[in-house]
Amino acid sequence: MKLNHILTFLLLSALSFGQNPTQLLREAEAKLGSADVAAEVSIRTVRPKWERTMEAKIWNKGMDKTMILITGPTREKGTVFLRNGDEVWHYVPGIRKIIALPAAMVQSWMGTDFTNDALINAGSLVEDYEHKLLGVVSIEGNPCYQIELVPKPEAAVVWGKVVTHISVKHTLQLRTEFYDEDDYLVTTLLAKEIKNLGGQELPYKLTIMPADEEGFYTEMTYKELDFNFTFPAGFFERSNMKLVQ
Amino acid sequence: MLKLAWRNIWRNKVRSTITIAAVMFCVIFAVVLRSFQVGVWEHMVDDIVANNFGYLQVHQKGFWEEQSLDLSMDQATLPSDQWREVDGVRSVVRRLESFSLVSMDQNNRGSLVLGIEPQHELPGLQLTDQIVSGNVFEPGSDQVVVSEGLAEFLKVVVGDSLLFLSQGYRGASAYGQFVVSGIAKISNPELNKQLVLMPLQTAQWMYNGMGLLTTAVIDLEPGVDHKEVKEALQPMMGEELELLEWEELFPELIQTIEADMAGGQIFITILYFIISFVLLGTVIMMVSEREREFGILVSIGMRKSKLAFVTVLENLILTLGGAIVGMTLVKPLQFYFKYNPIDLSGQMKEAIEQFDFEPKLYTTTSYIINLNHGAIVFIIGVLVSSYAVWKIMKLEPVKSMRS
Repeated sequence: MKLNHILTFLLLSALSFGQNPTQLLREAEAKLGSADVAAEVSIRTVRPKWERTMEAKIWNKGMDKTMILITGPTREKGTVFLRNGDEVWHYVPGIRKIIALPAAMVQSWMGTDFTNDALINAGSLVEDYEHKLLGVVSIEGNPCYQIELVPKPEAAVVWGKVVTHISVKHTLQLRTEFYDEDDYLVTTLLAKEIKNLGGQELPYKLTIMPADEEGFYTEMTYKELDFNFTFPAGFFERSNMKLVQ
Repeated sequence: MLKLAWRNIWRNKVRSTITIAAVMFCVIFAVVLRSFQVGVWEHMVDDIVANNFGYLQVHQKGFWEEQSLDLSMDQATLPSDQWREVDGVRSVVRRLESFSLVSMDQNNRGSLVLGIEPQHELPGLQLTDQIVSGNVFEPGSDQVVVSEGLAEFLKVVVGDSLLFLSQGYRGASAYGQFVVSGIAKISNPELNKQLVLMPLQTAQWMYNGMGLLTTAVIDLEPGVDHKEVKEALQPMMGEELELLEWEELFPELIQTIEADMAGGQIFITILYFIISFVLLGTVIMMVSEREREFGILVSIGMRKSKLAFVTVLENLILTLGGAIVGMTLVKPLQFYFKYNPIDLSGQMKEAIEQFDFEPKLYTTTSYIINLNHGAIVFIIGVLVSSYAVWKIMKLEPVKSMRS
């Protein structure tokens, strides 16, 4: 049994030598982060004394186009976030106004534990960071490549360091830890319950957990994923923010 | 002996007057300097604490540290009637405070939003004297009053619409479009740059927290010691609420005051060095002028110790007199500048406003300062008169009479 373990470990370690971390990340990112996809999600924010669930639709095209439409609850219904290239816009139906959001955004997104930056303006883990393969570790029983990412000097990113774990089996980021400039863990992103979604093996739940708040987390659950969505012309334009459904 | 000293003082009126004047000016100088320093802080604390934030505030436990709306209190279950019965409590002021991005066209700024009931507010936020244009908002309306500095930054005038965007109670989004009904000048420069006032109910609606308060200010009767009231109120707070006094609300303010006072102490110490030498100068002058006289007195049989004692007594009377005159004369000055502060202008004004201080110099009218500094100058006077003692004790009568 023990020998078996060691053998597996050795085998995986050997495996890790042949892997290019940048290539691994690119593959993992292509699975969801930069795919052309339309999704329906529910976002549950949990606090020690209360919790709150929002429903949303997300459209994503390539690395730099994202549209998020909040469909519930009533107070937030119709709120839209749009990222197109470097520009990020926020449509507030209650006051019928589109507001430009600043580029680097670490504030909470809609009261969740996601930051604006993480959800809308994610930046690219492939382009903005230098990668180093640290080895193979086990995340909830799944062997994963552990990769350390340090931002390139010129990259405009909010993190000081990122450590991600990409599963050997599905090439999915199962656990990603975000550190600040002083090497303190700020938040952890977990991918759980890998299922067949829209024809691909993908995590059904994404959970983000701030490191310094006990009992705080936000869980995003995919209800529907469509990889065959065709985006009409002008879909990611500002003018579409008031119309999108 | 005392009589002798008294006569000596009157024998040379010019010399005595000079000594008294020297002591007097030293006292006036030290007291004025100190009064301004203490007075500016006194005024600032009074302004921030008594007029705007209150000496005592009640919040949900943890609110003040986290400034999160999630730590709000339900106004319906708040036992404020019970608090009002405590001796020294005049009223309980209800507020909802939070932050918001406020924008007008392309300009936006993070602002402090206060939902208030002006008719029940502290003097600084009653919006009677503070309004510089327009009017106060109607209760429950979609109207806001913007502080002067913020209005200037956003380039808004009365009648414009402002957009508010923030995060509300328990993660709800907070937004609103409100009309500026008035612009108010808030005396505290820091608040004047970022404060938006709106009706309490409007703020509760915007932040999705109907019936919620973040803050209950305990308004005190004038002259009441807030620490005593705090002690009386503390047992009524229970597990959920925190009762904070202003020293806990604004520890930075206390620190800044202490740092500034320490700087002032150094300055005063230097001043006292100068004062010591001025006084020493008058003593040296006195001794050298009277060297011949001392010589004659000693040679006709007066004991040196007795002579020294008389001289010291003279000096004591003079410095005491000077100190008392100084302490008294400076009093009207202190009162004058308390109510007619020196208004700084030009570069000085800009520099001070950058540190969020009101560019006006106030004095304090506290008597303790006068007594303290009068006493210090008096002690210095006593110390320097030891020069005369030393000089007399080693006096050689023959030599001194010839000189």
